[in-house]
Amino acid sequence: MSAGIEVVNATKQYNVFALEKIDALRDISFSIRKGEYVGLLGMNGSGKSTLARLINGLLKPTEGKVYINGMDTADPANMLEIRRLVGMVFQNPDNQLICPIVEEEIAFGPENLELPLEEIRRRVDWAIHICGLEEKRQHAPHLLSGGQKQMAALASVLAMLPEYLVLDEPTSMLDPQSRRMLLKQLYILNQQEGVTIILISHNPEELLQTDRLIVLDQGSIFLEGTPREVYANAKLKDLGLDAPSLYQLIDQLELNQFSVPESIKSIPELVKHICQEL
Amino acid sequence: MGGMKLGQYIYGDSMVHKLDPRTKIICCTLAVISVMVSINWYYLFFLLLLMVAIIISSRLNLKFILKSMYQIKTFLLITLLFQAFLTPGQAVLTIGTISMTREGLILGSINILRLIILFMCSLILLMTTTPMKLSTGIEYFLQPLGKLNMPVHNFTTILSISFRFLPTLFEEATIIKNAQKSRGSEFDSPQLMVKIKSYAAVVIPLFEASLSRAADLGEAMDSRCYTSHPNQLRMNSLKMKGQDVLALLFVSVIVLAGVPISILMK
Amino acid sequence: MPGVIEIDHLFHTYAKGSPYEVEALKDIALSVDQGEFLGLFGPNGSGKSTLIQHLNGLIRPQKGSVTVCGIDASNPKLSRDLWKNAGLVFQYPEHQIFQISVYDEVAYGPRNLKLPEATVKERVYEALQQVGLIQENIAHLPPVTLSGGMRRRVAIAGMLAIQPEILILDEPMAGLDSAGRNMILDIIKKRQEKHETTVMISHSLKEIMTITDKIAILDSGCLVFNGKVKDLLNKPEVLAQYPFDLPEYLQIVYEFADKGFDIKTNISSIREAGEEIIKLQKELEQLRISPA
Repeated sequence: MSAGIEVVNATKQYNVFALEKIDALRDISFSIRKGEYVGLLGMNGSGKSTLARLINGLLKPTEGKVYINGMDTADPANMLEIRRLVGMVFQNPDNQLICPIVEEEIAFGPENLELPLEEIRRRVDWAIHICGLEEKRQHAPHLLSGGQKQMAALASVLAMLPEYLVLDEPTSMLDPQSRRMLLKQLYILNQQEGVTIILISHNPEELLQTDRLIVLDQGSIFLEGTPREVYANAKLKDLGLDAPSLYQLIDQLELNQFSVPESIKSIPELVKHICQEL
Repeated sequence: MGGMKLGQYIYGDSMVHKLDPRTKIICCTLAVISVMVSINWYYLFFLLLLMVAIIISSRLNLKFILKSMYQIKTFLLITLLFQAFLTPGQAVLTIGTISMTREGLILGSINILRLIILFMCSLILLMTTTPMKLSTGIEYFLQPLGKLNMPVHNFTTILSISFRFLPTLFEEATIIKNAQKSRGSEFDSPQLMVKIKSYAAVVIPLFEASLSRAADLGEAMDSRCYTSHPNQLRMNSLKMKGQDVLALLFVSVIVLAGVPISILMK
Repeated sequence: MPGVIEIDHLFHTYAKGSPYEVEALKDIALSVDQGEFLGLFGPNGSGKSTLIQHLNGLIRPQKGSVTVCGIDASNPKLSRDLWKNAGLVFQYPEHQIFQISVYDEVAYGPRNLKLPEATVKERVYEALQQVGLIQENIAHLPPVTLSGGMRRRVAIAGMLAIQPEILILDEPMAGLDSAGRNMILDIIKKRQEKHETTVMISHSLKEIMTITDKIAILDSGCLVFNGKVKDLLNKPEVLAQYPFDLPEYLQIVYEFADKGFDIKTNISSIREAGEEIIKLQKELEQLRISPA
C-alpha cells in the first residue's frame, strides 16, 4: 500500500433541483505525500469544500478515484478506516461540536472507535493538553469563544490520531488572534507530530507556511507549486487574488539584487534575514 | 446574555448540587408518586415545606421561583374551576345549570397544591443539575431497555445534542429577533397579523439555520466515525457517595412512611 | 455643533441582581460627527455589541445618555423608531433572510417604513445596485439559491434600502473573500463621498486602514482608546496590548524600528516598505565604503 493521498481524474457533479447538473469539480488529479503541508486556495465557490469532502470520503467522486494510503474511498469497506485516517475540521465552530461538554466532545471519536476506556482517557488528556484546553475541559461548548471552539474541534479530531488533517476554512469565522493561534498549532502539528495537513482558505496570507499550494478555480486546478512559484505567477491576478505582502516584498527585494532564501515563510523570518545581511 | 430563564441550571456548590443525578432523579420520582397517591392536606403541606426548605438550602432564588409560579396562575385557576364545577357534591354556588361544589373546591385546592409541589420539585432537579449530568442519569436508567433492542443510545444522543444546542438556539433566536427589529418588525404590535408576520421573520430563518446545522452536524459526526455506542466516559463519571445514600434513605422513609400514614389518617 | 452620535456616561448591566450579573458598559463617552467613519475594536465580550445596540434603540440606556441624530434614545416612544435613523446590520446577516424572493427581502425594511410601493421599488433596485447585484432577474430569485457571499450582499442591501442616516455594521467582512471585502469597502467609500456616517465593528486594522477616520477600543466595558488612527499608531503600548492585525507593511517597518534601525514608519504600502529597506541597505553600504 502506498502512503499518501492520490486523487485521480476526479469529477464531482451535483444535481440542482433534479434538473441541472453542476460540476463542482472537473477532472482533478494530484497527490499529497505523507508529512506535507498543503494549501488549497480558491475564491468562494471554487470547489474547495467539495474537494475536502472527497478526501475524507464524506462524498464519493462521480467519476475518477480517490485513494487514501492506497484505499479506494468509494469502497464502503474502507469507509471507517479512511475517516479515522483523515480528520476533518469544518468552517463553522458552532456546528461541529456535538456533545454538551468539551471533554466528551474530544472523547466522541475514540468512543466511536470502540477503544478501551483507559486509552480513551489517555487520548483525551493528550489532545486537551496539545490544544491548550485544560481550563475548558468541563465547560459547555457554547460558553467558549470562537477560537476555543475551533481548538476543541481540532482536539476532538486529533484524539482519533489521524495521519491526515483536512481543514475546511477553519479560520474564516475567527478573530485575528485566534486565527494566528490555530495556524501556529497546525504548524507545530505538522513539524513535531508529522501530521499531513491540507489547509483550505480563500486568504493567501494564511497559507504562507505551506510547502505546496494548489489553486482551484471553477472546479479545476488553476495553479500548483511552492508558494513562491504560485505567487510569482502573474495569472494569479486573474482570479482577483493578490500575492501576500511577504511575497510582494521578496519580489521587490530580489529585483534589487537582494537574495532571499526559499525557506523564509514569515515576516519576522524575513526581517531577521535582512538584518543579518545588512 | 439575557436574563435568567426558568429551569436553567444555576451554578452552586450546595449539597443538593453535589448529589449524583441518579439520586436526584429517583428522589424526584418518589416525590411525584407520593404527591399523586396522597390526598392528605397535612402530608402535602409537609412536602411543600420540604420543597421550600430544599430550595432555600440549595441557595436557589425562592423569590424568582415564586414569581414565575405566579405567571401560571391562570392555568391553576382554570384547574380549580374545572374541578369545582365538575365534581358532584354539595353545591355552594349555582350558575345556570351547573354548580360549584364544596367537594370540588377541596379537590381543586388539593390539585393546585399538588401541581405547585410538582413544579417546585422539577425546578429543583433542573436548576441544581447540569443538563449533562441529567442526561447521563436518564441514560443510565434507560440502559436496561437497550437489552430489549430498543435504540436507547440513539435516543440519548438526540437528548444530549438537544441539551448542547438549546442555548445556541436561544441565542440565535434573540439575535434574529433583534435583527428584524432593526428592520422595523413590530413584535408588540396590537394588530395580530403584523405580530404573526413579525414572528414568521424569526421562525423561518431559525428553522433554516437549524436545518443547515443538522446537515453540518451530520457531517461532523460521520467524519468522526459515528456508530451507536454507549458513552463510556460519561457513564464512568457517575459516582454514588455517602450523601447520596443518605438522601435516598431520607426520601424513601418520607414516602414509604408518609403515604400509608396519610392514607390511614384520612 | 453636536455630533450625529453623542454618548455620555453610559453604563449597562445585564441580568441585574442575578448571579449572572455582568457589567457590560462602564462610563462610555463617545461622539461621532456627520460623515465620519468610526471603527470599533475590542476583544470578544468587551461590550461592542451592547454599545451598538444602544444606537438603534434595541437597548435603552440604563444610566447615562445616548443621542442619535438628535433623538434621545432613552425616550421609549422615540427609541422605538430609532431603527429608521440608525441601520444596524448584525454579524452574518445572511442568516436572517426569510422572504421568498430577493426583492421581497430587500423591500422588507422600506415596507415597514410604510412607503408607497413605487418608492419601495426604486429603493430596492438602488440598494441592489449599491451592493453590486446588477444582474437581471436576480431580484426575483429565491435567496436560498444564492451563494453565501451573495446572500450577505442581499442582506446588506436590505438595510441600505431603509436609507438610514447612520449605518452600523457588525463585522461585515467576516468570512468573505477578497471580492466580498472590496464590495463592503466600496459601500463605505461611497457613503463617505456622500458625507454619510458609518460605524463598523472590526477585528482587523488592516481591513479598514484605508477608510477609517476614528478608532474606538473597548475592553471589558471600558473605552480604552478613542481617537485618530495616526494617534493610535503612536501608542505602542496600546498596539502591543490588543491584537489589531496591523497591515504587513507596518509590521515590517515596526520590526526594523524595534531592532534599532532608523526607518520611516509612516508609510502606507508594502511597496514603500520595500523602498525603505533598499534605502537602508544603500545607506549602510555607503557607510561601509567610507567608514569615516
